[in-house]
Amino acid sequence: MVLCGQNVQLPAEPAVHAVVGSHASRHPDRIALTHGTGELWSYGRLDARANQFAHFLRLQGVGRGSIVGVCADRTPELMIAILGVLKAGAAYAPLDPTYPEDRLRLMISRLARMDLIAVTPETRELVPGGHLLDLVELGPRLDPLPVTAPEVRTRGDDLCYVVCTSGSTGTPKAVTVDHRGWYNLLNWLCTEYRLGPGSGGMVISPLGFDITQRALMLPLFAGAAVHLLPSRHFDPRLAYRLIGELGARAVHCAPSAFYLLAEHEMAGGGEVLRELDRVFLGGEPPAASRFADWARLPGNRATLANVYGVAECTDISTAHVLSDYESYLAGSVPAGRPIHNTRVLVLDDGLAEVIDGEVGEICVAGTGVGPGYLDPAPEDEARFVTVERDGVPVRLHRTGDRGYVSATSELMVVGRVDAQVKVRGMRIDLGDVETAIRRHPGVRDAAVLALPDARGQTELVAAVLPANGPIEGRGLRGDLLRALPKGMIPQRLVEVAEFPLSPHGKVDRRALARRLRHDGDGARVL
Amino acid sequence: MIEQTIHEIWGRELKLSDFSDHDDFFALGGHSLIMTEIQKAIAEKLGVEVPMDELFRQNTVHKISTHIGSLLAVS
Repeated sequence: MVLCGQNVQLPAEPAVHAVVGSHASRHPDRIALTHGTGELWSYGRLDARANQFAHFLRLQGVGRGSIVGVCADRTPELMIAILGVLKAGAAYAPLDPTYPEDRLRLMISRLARMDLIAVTPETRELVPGGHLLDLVELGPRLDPLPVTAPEVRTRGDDLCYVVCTSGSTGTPKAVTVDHRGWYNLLNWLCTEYRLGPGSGGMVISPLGFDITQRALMLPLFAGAAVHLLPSRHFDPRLAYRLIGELGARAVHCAPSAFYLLAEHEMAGGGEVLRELDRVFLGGEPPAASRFADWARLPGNRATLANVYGVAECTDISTAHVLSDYESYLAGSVPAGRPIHNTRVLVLDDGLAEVIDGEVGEICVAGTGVGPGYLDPAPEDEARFVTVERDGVPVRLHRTGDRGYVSATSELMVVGRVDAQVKVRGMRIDLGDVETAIRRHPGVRDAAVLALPDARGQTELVAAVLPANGPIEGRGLRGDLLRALPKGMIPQRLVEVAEFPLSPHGKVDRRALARRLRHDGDGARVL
Repeated sequence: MIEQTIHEIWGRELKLSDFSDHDDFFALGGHSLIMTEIQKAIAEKLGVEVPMDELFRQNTVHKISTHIGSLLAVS
């Protein structure tokens, strides 16, 4: 079964930052960026500063093929760094300032080509290693540099960003995206949802997610303002207030973040959300029961879109605009139809098409299929395959998601082929978490499961076998906090005397899940 | 008084009865979703809006209570 998106011609050399630069030269006085209610940047000012940083980077030898890290809160410096890196011809790698030092060190080691890391006074102490460029401290050295863009020719297949995702062995995977794919995505969003200078968006998601790269760049690509949530951690009450006060028109977030905003509004917080133009939900399947009442409020004018995709294929491959809440409550929200220049195929293990309505692995072909991983393990490299279709070689990405095509020709996602899960929008390989738990000296073995919590939302539960004597829960949690991003730490740690085994001698995860749901059979919660 | 109220909120949201006012929120099994519930409860019970970043920084019952006490004293 194949779903085809519309074919649309892209510029010969699509460079995302060049679009932002052209808005700046035509409308330098328009607002490009806000940071809370106190700080406004015009297009002219933001573009000039990013150009100066780009010149500075060029003087450091940065150019096509370079990767520059960016570790910053949602501040103007973050946007200056990103635009400056792109204008210098390089790709940027977001480094989330909420991650522990050990995790950042692992990520930096994966980004082998990276030496320079842009930071701010608030984040420089957090970054272990690399040559740090503090954007505030550098100010006086940037001032004399040209405010016009450096002469750099960016090609469509040049990398624009690299995001690190969880990997099964405990080492993050570095996923690359190129300008052609990103341009195609942003151009599709602008066309499909008629975005323009009035379509300012609030950025509330964590820096390391691919959704955040889109949320940061889309308003500037459309000639609108990007509103940066002035908080290191997601703050639903602050976000809600600022969306209203700044008049943001769009939000991109994981459904689990959106539930909190919608519940705040339903509890009498105001009418801010229903005045939005667009809400883009992505990163995990939305549970319609959590916002259906809000969506059906009289006078609600916001359009909700569920967007589906993987980082390897430039963030979004399909989208569905929500309207039929009865069917979502009875079933699930479709992932929808492909975006421009994209094909979605549902294939069996032999990479042959399944028949209509049957479940198979979701594979993506087209402009969004990215260049792949930096320094990949062989099993990761195998996720990108070239197959012959109608006598023509086609490059495919096997997403690892399982799904089918509905009677209304929409993609439906039903699960995974492997041990990867989504928890509150974060992509987590369970092996990554298990590896971290096994490093604790008191632990003999660990199995981590993703189970529904009391509200039906996914949580991580770890079953832990002690090495010798009872495990001290706070000590184990302390170790995990030093190793993993907070979103990857199991909500429940349960000490068990043994794992149920399958006839093949492997951990029987279904039986373990049953046992953990009831906390029974002598299990001890840590 | 504030410290006792915060202790009760933490206990309810973390589903814990036995913990000290000097225990680290995350070592007790807390995560960001629970913190948003705590933020909401503090706003409702004490009438103070405490930013999430502050709740993450003041990560024990004692520290956050002291912080809220100083906010209330100023207002």
